[in-house]
Amino acid sequence: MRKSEPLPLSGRDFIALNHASFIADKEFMVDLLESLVKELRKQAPGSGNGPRILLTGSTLAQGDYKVPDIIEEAGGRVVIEEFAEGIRPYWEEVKLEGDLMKNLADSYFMQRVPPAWFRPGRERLNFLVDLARDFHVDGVIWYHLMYRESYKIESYYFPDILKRETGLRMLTVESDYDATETGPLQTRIETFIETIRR
Amino acid sequence: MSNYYDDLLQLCGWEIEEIENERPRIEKTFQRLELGPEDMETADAWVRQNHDVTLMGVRKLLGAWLKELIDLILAKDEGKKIVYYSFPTVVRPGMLIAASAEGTYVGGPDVILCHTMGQIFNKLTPILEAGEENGLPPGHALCSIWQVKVGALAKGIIPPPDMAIASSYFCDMGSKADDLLAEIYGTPIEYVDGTMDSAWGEYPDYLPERAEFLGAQFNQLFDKVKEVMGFEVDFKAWDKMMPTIRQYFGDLYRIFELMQADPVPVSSVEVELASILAVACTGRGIAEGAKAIKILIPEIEKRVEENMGVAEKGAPRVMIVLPSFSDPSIVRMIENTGLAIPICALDVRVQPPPPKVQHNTVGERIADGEIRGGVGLFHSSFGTCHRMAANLEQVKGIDGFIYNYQFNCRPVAQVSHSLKRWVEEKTGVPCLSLENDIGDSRSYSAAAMRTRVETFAEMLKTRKVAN
Repeated sequence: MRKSEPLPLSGRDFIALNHASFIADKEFMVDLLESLVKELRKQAPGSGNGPRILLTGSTLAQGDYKVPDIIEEAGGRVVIEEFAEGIRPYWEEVKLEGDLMKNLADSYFMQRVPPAWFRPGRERLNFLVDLARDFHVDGVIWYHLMYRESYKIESYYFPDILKRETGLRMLTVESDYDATETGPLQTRIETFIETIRR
Repeated sequence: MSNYYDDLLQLCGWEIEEIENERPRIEKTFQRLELGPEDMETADAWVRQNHDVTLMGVRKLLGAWLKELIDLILAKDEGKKIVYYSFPTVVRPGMLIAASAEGTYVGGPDVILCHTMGQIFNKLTPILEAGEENGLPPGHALCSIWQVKVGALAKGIIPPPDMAIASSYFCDMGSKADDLLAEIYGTPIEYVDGTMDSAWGEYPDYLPERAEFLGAQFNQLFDKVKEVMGFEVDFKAWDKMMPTIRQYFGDLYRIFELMQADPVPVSSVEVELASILAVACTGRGIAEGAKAIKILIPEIEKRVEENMGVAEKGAPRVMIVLPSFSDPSIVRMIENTGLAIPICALDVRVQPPPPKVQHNTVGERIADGEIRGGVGLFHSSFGTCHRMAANLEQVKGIDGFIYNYQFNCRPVAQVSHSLKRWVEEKTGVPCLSLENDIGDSRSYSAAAMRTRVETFAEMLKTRKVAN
């Protein structure tokens, strides 16, 4: 549904739902998600036509909503995320036939797109390019935490790959969860959103 | 015909004939390194300030590093295929690869640049800055050794390799920087992964599966060499190399023995020139280094006989982990506080326990040797702590230990505090945990560390008098 236009729900709401799924009772969560899907299908088309953003990086922890909030306040729309704790485990399902432990290991280590500290790291970067295309994004915001060196290093050469493969631009922002960084982040993200706005 | 660099090269032990024979190579190298007449003046003063140039063996060691530097810089121009390995390194695979094919340059370019552009020319900063501008920015605790390598590649100083070996059995940041090489230069990388999964207290034992896994990774490396470089690794080459290697390390251990004299006869920076040369390169550096050590031994013996030394007789004796690769003034500063450094922890060798499992492949045997023997680093955090304490007990008369650890090296930095506690509890030897940077002294200069070392030195002197 997030591939579509207009966007049925905000990225910020989706992130909150995803984080809630970590701690909520599973049966409750499944019921809630099913009713939400029905509701979203019935509701009037969502408003907003700001740039569609792929938000990626190292970690988007529960409660760390500074960057997605700034993006949406600046008129951007987060249409897909790719984080170690985010949506990554949901792209494939563990097979329930045969050796379950083997299936679990296969899911964790072979099927799932690896994080940046796995080498070679190209699989995840190619996956990001695919996400950018599939979700029709207008720009990529790469958000990693200070001292996550694997992501830092990838953030240096991924913009060239992204530009070459999709023509899209990327903004890299970094955080050490310091409250004083909000202003500079706001300036940089707002500027980026303005530059990619169609 | 003399040139602006002749005096410096002679200071570094080169003979006139050697300079004449290599003049075109020297000039091409210095041009690429952007080294001119003013740099020679700086280098002359820097070398004289930090190295004991009254010892011909020391000068020859500096010269050996310069010869290795020239071979590195010109490797591609001279039609050689190139393999780079990363630090900290398991040395034998690189040596095997080098010995298997003539015309292949195999070495650790970052360490070579630290010892030459840093220790000799005091001009490493532009290379570090280039590394910072090309993927490894400052302020992120990224490895300076890797900044040197990336910076030198970005500046076109060193040639992109045909293949690189990632030491991911020890370090994840370095191997991620290998990804950078793969993306920018298309370099094929062989990631040699390991599993440092030993419980606290488990040393020297370890799960045999660790050696099997790491060994399989080395065997994959040898397969990759065949695929990428086009030649097979000749395991019999090891037998051919062993006499040279044994001779080199045998002579090096003689220097370690001589360093146990009181007063300590030469600075630890001179010994480091010899000990790291053997792990940073596989070619001319080793051959020239071996000759230099032969010259150095009688010179040090003479000093011992004459009771000459770099510290006063009876000075507190400290063990450090390893001197800076790039800045000899740091160890000189430690010695100038009145401390004697008879040996570095990574130079202490203990007899490893016999193997518990007979491994069938070369890769497994190399892996088993590194985990079981070595200096504990490749075993585990506990292995490192245990070995540091064991080293202090093995080398008699050590009054203090300076755990001068690389602040941005995850494996050695994360153990710094537990290591200090472990060493002090097990040995009673006071330990100073000293954050530093082995390749970049811009933030960790001798001046910045002096206050802490002086305080430690005063404490050791007082303690020695009291005891």
